[in-house]
Amino acid sequence: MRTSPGRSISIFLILTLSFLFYIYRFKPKAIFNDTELTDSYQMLMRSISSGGHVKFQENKQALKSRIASVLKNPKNEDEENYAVNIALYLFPEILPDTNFEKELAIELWGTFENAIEKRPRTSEARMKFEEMKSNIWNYENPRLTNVGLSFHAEETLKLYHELSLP
Amino acid sequence: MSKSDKKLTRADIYQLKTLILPAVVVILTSISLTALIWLGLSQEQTSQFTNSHRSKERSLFAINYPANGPFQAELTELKSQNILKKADEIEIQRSILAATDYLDIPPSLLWCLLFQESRLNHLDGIESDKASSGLGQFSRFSFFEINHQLERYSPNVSNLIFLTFGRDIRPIAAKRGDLVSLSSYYSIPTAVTASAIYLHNRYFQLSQLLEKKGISYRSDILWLFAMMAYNKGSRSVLSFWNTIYRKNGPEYFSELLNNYDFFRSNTEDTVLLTKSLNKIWEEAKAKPYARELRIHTKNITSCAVSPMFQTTRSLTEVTP
Repeated sequence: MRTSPGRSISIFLILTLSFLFYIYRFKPKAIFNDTELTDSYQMLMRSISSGGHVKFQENKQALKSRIASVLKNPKNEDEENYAVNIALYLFPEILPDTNFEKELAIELWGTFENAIEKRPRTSEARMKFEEMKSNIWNYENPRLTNVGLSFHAEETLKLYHELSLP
Repeated sequence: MSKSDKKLTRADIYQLKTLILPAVVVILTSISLTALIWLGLSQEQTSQFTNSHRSKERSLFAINYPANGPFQAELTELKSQNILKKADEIEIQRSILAATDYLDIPPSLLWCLLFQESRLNHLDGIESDKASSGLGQFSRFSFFEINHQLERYSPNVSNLIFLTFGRDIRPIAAKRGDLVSLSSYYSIPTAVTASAIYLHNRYFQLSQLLEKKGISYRSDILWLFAMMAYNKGSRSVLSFWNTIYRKNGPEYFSELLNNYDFFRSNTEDTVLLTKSLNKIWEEAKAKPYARELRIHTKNITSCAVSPMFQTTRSLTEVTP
């Protein structure tokens, strides 16, 4: 089947313009694929089941250094946001002072996490966990709507639920 | 000029030296002393003068509420259909005035917040398994804060419970089987008092944060942010602040906390709200939550803020 050059050019132009419109309208998000970061919570959970709270604390410290370096020099906005969220829930003290969430994070769950880590799997740790859980829910979603908790809040609660089980 | 004139001039000069000069010295000394006393006042004392001047600033909040047309129409409808009983309405109003007076909350703000949350139905959710219920849509975590964590906030808040009920009525819960109990959130004075305390706690959290950072704010506007935190969590507000501070810098941020027009235009910006909430939740959740936050904020603000500060559109256009 023969096609005229004019027709080919117009098809080419239509396709190019459609592609450009698609790129403009639905900007594909920068692909954030740092598995070391995205697997952080699973890695910590595995360390609780394999080596208990001692292994958990070791791995948490290693993750803290990794997150601190990402915060200093993030590759893109997505990576930075992911690192900020991990820091917010696991080590808020390394967030910059300009972050308005830092202080409340230390007060509402940071101190409770430290207390649970000091005396894991005790009834005292369980009480701290219940208080921390209430603080996080009131902080993120007080009406308990379908939106639920953020991914990072949920994962953090799973970790400390496990660590505080008597 | 004659010789006698010259003598008179000398006499004048003498008079100047003996009378006027000491007077000038006395005046100059008193001016210097006044300046020294003024300079000697501490920073806190001078800022007290500034605050007292600021406190004369006209309040943003309406004396008569609801201030917006749609809520007025809806209230009339609820009353005419006897969904909101007169006795309940009076009890809600009386409890609001007592709690807000003690905690220094703008009464219109608490009334409008409760209207947005439950349409003043104090039994809302009693026959369902909703996660939150009653006048202020309390969840089990809101109860936990009221029952176990009040010492973390201002000491005023637990005193309000003793003053209102004569004793500590906690633990408060959504007790379906015991509606008359003062410990039941379905009881009107209990629900209003607990909701006022929860709102005050949000204000306390935000104000402490700003004061520690030395950021000045207008309390009326901070109450509006506290209302947003009551409705959608303090994290939504702080993420919104982080986004604005990072994008526009400290001066713009300061305007947001001190200028009502800035507050209104920014909280009506769905794109900005979505961007802020997208830092917490993925886009599919952040978008509808941001839309809800914008609508609720607009509803409560147009209901609680004096018409003097609102455009005709914001008073009439809001659909509940």
